[in-house]
Order: sequence, then C-alpha cells, then structure tokens
Amino acid sequence: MRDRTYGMLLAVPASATLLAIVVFPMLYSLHLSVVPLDLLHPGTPRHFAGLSVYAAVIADPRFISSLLHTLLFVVLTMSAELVLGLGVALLLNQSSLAGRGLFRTLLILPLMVAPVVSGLQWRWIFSDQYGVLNYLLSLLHVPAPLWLGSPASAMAAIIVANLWVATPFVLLVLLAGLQGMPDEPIEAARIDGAGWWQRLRLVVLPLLRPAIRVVLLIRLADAIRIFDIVYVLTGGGPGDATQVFSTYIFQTSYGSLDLSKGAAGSFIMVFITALISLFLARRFRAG
Amino acid sequence: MHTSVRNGLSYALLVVVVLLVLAPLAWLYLSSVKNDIEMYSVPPTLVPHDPSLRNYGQLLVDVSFKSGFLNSVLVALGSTAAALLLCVPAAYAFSRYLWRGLSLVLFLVLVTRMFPPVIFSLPFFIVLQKVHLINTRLGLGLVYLSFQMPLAIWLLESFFREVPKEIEEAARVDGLSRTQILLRIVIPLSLPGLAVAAIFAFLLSWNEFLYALILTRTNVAQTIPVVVSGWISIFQILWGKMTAAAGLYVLPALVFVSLVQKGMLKGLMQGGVKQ
Repeated sequence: MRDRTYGMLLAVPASATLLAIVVFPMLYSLHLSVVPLDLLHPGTPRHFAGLSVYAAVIADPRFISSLLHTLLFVVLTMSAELVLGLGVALLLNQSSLAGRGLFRTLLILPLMVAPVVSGLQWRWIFSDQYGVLNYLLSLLHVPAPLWLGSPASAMAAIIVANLWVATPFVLLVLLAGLQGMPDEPIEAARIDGAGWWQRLRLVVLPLLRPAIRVVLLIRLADAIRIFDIVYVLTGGGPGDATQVFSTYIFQTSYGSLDLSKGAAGSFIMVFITALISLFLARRFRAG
Repeated sequence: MHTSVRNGLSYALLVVVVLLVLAPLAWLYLSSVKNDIEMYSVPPTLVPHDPSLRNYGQLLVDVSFKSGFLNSVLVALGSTAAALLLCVPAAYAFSRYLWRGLSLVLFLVLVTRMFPPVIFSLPFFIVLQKVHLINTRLGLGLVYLSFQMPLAIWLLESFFREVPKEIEEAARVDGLSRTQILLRIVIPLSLPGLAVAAIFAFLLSWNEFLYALILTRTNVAQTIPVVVSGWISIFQILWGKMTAAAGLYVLPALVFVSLVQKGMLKGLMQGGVKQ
C-alpha cells in the first residue's frame, strides 16, 4: 500500500465523524434559517423564505439590545483583560525576582475553572444581604449597591466574574511572548536613555504584537459568545439589561421554540465575529 | 530605582494580585464548611466558627448530585476516550502522510471556535430527538466530540511532528510495519503530548454547560453544572449545598492546572479552550 493511501485510511474514521458532527450541523442550521421550521404548528409545509427570517431578527428590538450589551461587554472585558494581563506579565517577567514560578502557578489557577462556577461564586460574593463584598464595603463606609439589581452594576458583576476566569489565559500568552523576546533591543533602548515607559511603548509593545494578536483573536471569539456566566449570575436581568447574544438566541430557540430565528440570529452573530476578527487581525499584523 | 526597592515593590504588588485572585475560591471553600446559621449570618464571619463537612455529607445523599457526578464523569471519560481513539491515527496521518490536508483541520478548529455552540445545538437538538438520543449520556458524549476532536487532532499532530523522523526510518529498516511504528514507537514517545490532549479534552467536556442544558432533561443524563445551576430558584438558593458542590466540581481543573503547566499553553493557543 502506498503511504498516502495508508494515511487516508488512518484519517477516515475521524474525518467521517467530523463531517457528521461539525459540517452537517452547520449546513443544517443554515438550511433552518432560510427554510423556516414551525415547531408550534407541526405539519405546516416548509418553504424557502429567503432572508426573511434574518430580517425578522434584525427588526427585533431585543436582538438589537442584546447586540449592544454584547459589544459593550466585549470591549470592556477585553480591554481590562489586556491591561491586567500585561501588567502582571511585566511584573512576573523580571528576572531578578525569585519564586516567579510559584506566583505564576497561583495566578493562573482559575485558568480551567468552569465559567459556571465563576458565575456561582461571584453571585454568592455579590449577594445583597449575605454577600462578603458588601460587608467589606461597609467596613470602609462605602454605600453598598444592590449589585445584581441595577443594569450597570449587573454588567460590572458579569465583567468581574469573566475577568477572573479569562485573564489567566491572557497572562500566560503575554508572559510567553515576553520571555521569547530578544534582550538586545530593550538593552539598546536603555543605553540610549529611554525611560521605562518609553521602552514599554516603543520597544516591548511592538515586539509583543504577535502575542497580543493571538490573545485578541482567541478572546474575541470567546467573549462574544459568553453564556454560562450570564446565565447563572444574572439570568440576563435585571429585566433584559444583561441579555447578550447567546442568551437571546437560547431564549428565542428553546424558550419561544423559534429554532429558525435562533439559527438566523446565530449566523448574524458569526458574521459580526468574523468582521471584528478580520479588523483586529489586520490592525495587529506583525511588524 | 534601586533593584532591591523595585523587587520589594514588585513582590508587594504580586502578593496583592495573588490574594485578589485566590480570595473568591477561598471564600467558596470557607463558605462550604459553614453551618446553615453561620452561612446567613449578618455580618458574615470571615473564618467559620464551627467548621464541618455537613454540606459535603448532604451531597453524598443528594440523588440529583450523585447522578450528576456520575454523568459528568462518564460523559467526560467516554468522549475523551473516543476522541483520542479517533484522533490519534488521524493526527499521525496528518503529521506524516497528509500534511497538505492539515489546513482543513485548522479550518475546522476555527469554525468550532468562531461559531457559537448555540448554532450547533439546534441541529443536535432536532437530530438527537429523531434518533432517540436526546437526554442520554451517549448523545451528549457524541456532541462533545464536535469540539474535542478538532482540538485533539490539532494538538496531537504538533506533538507527533516533534518525534524525530530518523527513529521511524531506523525502525522501518529493522522491518517494522507502519502500524507497528505508530503503536510501538511514535505513541510511546508522545505520551506526554497524549496526556495533555487527554486532559484538555476531558476538561472541555467536564466544564461544558450550554449543550448539556439543552440536550439533557433529567437525572438520567444531566451533568453537574446543569444540576447545580438548577438549584438556583427565584425564592432561595441553598448556598451551603451550592458552595460544596461547586467546590468539589472545580477540583479536577485546579489539580490539572497546577500540575500540568508546560503543555497547557500549547493547548490553549491552538484550541482556545474556554467555553
């Protein structure tokens, strides 16, 4: 048997499985979004509807508000992740510090924690009456807000819960980027009299572009589809104030049983993700 | 600034950050050993006066938690085993014979990352219903393969590529067949990589929430995150039971992350693991 044929034989089971559970569902969803399925009236004949379902999604004010909440969340959380991750990575990257390994291990501990747990744990911390956060604030004589009861602070709570699980990844990638960086340019800048801030802005950050690009692209796709934390922390509330893309599609599909609208909404979401990814990938091209 | 002063400042900052990161987890575990009265005392006690494992004991007799735990373990182990069984030969084939096809795998990795799980959940929901696999561990495990496999192939391929070709050529000269080379040489040499891929696949399944929420309905198949999130009601949340369950559920992730750090980065970069 030729090598190529042998290789294909090895790859057949996995490829067939992927075709069935990744490619087929994608096409099925696409079909669902243009040939609507009415689960509430079974037996209704199905017709090609063009983009009418997509139009219905875009005309839905709840979709638009979930879109705005998602974008707000994505911008705020990703900026905070980058700033915090970079700050801690710079701290950890000082070779004169002993015990850096231990600090790193402790700092990335939440790396693989289930988002559901983060949501639950922060819900307990943010609790109005029994919450430890409001108790600590009261010690400082700061008025304690009803964290999950008002739109702005509920969004803040979601961002905090997300930062806790997401930042370790950013830290890890940026730290790897810093450690793989050549010393010479930074040393040369130091000799030329560049201060700490100048070295960071003019030498370190440009060299770190590839790592930042990876972080942005991976985190963007994750942040846009946030679901678990919102579901257990606020349930989209108060009212619809923290409803995001995924919770909107979840409710439309399984609450109102409008699967076609859910599918169309999902594809709009993919389209927006792709657009932003493309923009970021170009903006942060290496060199 | 003098080096020792700068080091002192850096240490102080790092300690503050570590405390901030660990505080929520510490609070979770501290709360889980409080009794019901102390749990809801105002103001809260930072260190429990009368620590006990009562909440954990309650979980042992809680039918939904026990079945949830069993379901989570079985689905994660089963889907991970299936993913490795399918992906090891495929990844090896991609690394040696079909490297041109690798871009297709990369495409699938991107697709499963860019497309929200909610989009795949619709066809899974409809098809599993038709073939009577809705609300079964088998059905859920099959669905989990959809995100475990692209990541596993991608990871394994990069580990297999690191096995020096010379060793394989020598084995070929010694008369080993291609299959024997894979089983007796490449796999044993890539065991650390296999372990990383297995841990990732396991944790992806272990942490998954959205599909489980949609595709399971009863104790027969519901996994821990679905069971535990079901304890949230408008009227009350039993925080004793909740914190103990969350504390147990999160343990494998904490253990794996503190033990395996080297291969972690590779996996995270290539698959982008977070849900």
